[in-house]
Amino acid sequence: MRHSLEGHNLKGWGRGASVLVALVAALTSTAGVDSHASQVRTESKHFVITYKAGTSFDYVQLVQRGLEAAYDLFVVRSAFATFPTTVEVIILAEGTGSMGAEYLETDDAGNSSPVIEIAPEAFMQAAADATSTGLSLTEAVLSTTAHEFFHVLQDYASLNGAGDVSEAAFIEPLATAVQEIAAPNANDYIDAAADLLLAPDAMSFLNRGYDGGLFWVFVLDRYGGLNAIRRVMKASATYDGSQAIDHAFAAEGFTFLDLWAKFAIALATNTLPDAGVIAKLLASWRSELDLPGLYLPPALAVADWTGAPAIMDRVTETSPADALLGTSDSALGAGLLGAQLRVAHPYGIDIVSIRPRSAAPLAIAVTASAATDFRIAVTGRRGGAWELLSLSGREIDVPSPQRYEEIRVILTRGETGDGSYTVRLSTGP
Amino acid sequence: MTAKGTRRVLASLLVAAVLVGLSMAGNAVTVAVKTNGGHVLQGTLSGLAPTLRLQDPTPPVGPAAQFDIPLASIEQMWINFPRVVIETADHVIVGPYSAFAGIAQLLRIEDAGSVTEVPFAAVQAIAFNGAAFHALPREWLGRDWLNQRGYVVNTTAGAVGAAAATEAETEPLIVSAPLAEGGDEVIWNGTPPAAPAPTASSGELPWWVLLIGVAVVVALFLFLPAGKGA
Repeated sequence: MRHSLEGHNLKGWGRGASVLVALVAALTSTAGVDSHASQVRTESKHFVITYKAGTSFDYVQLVQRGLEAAYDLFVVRSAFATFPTTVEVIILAEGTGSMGAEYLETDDAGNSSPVIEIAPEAFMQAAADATSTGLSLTEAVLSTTAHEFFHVLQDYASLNGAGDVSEAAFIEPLATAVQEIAAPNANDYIDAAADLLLAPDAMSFLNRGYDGGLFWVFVLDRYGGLNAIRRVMKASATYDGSQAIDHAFAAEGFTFLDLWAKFAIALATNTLPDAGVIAKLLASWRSELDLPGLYLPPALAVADWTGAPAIMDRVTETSPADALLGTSDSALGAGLLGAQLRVAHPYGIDIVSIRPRSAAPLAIAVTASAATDFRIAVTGRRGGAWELLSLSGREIDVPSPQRYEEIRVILTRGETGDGSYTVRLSTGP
Repeated sequence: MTAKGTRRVLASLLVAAVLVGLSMAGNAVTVAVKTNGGHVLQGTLSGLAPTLRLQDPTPPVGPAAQFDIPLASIEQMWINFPRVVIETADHVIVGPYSAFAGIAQLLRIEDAGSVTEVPFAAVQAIAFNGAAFHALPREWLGRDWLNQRGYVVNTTAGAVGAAAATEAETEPLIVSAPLAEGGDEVIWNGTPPAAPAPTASSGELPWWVLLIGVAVVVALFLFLPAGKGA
């Protein structure tokens, strides 16, 4: 009996369950449970992509190709560690204001798994169209998928003691920089760097976000590629801020300030990676503001060298950042006119411009408090090219200033001191 | 050192300087020079020795290494602060400017009797012997050979460009059908899927009403037989 009854009941439950599943399935497919009925899953070796039915399959393939290419680049060829499971990817049905996002989900057992969100095609296309440097949909997707997948690697590193996602200085700037390796022709890291290009003393570099990618592309390009980036990530697990970079480049003998000063010179002499793209962006800004004399970074103070001694200690120029970036943020230079010259932020950059109007030899002396760790270089513009006149030192002689259309003093600093300085011009030897 | 000895040393240095200068001046080549300001000058270049030398004082293993680069073999030079990149047909040589010998600080470009002097530090690229400027290869991947340290990479040994990375072959797409339709996995092999039929949203009972009905039917189905058997 019990056996029979049990047998009967089992059959009954089995039959009932089948009917229930079938009916629920029928209901959900015909009665409009859109959240399930319209979702499609696409699987590749390392990613599971979910998207709304009706999404262009070309777009899905493009996203999938970008993700797998990023996996190949970072994990297979560059030995970054990642989660052992496939990564969940959602192509969003609606734009959320960003081209992509990444976050971790944690299950009840405390296991974390990454989720990547990618903007819908129309939004991605619109974002690409809006860039100043010109960006195709394909480049936008390759760049975005690399950026978001790099966040997955950052998360994994952080969970395993080889990174620190709580330190913002190394999150978006690094993820933005690696876009350049995954999609070298996208150049969207430059578009994101307008703040840094136009107002490099608006904030400490270590507080920058996407615009910080400009510096890290320079480092990637000239100081060790992705291996250097991995070292920075690892060092950030133990050290904070500039100390992490100091440790990452200790073997090469560079401090962060050493690297930063080189970057500042490269920026001021138009020798950054993708200098041609930056020059085109600058040309568009010149045209927009009708400023034939605009160079990057913009000068804060300008004076003529007439052969007579002169002191430059005040801001004399209005920053173009305000007009170009559409902001009245005083940190970008608005309202600084007449203020004491000062590299206000650690790893900020100031430019002081001298226009030679005399053949008299020029001696430039920068006076500043010893408490500030300044790095100072001098360049001259001649025939449309920048010459390096001095890589270091606070006293620089320019025997033939009339050879140059403009002489620029480039100042940057470390973390100590208040950054105040004065530039004195006098007759040189 | 005596005055005589000093004079001899100075005379030797002067002769050496003249010889180096003559060798550079006498080694003019046809080039296009792009400055870091974007200007392009064409003409006959002087200021580079017949053979450039890269000295790497601190190789990872062994004694200091040096590389001789005949000027005639160079296709393009990049001055990419703070490094110099020299491309030949089969090599790329990378190193800091200070590690190179045979490069004058001031280059002279002569074109139709007009001479322009350009400091080497203000040059972005030099294309030799009629070659067009081309992008600096950014082969960072796994090689680090755009590092500041000077070393040589044979470009014919396998240039794996960053652009190639984006075209890496990927696994075939495995796409499951829309979840609500059930069924087995479908391999599309690149064929765009047919969009599922739009779901009906009008002229039907609300889904939850049907769900309650189903629940009632299932309950009856389950409980009625059990009651008869007892």
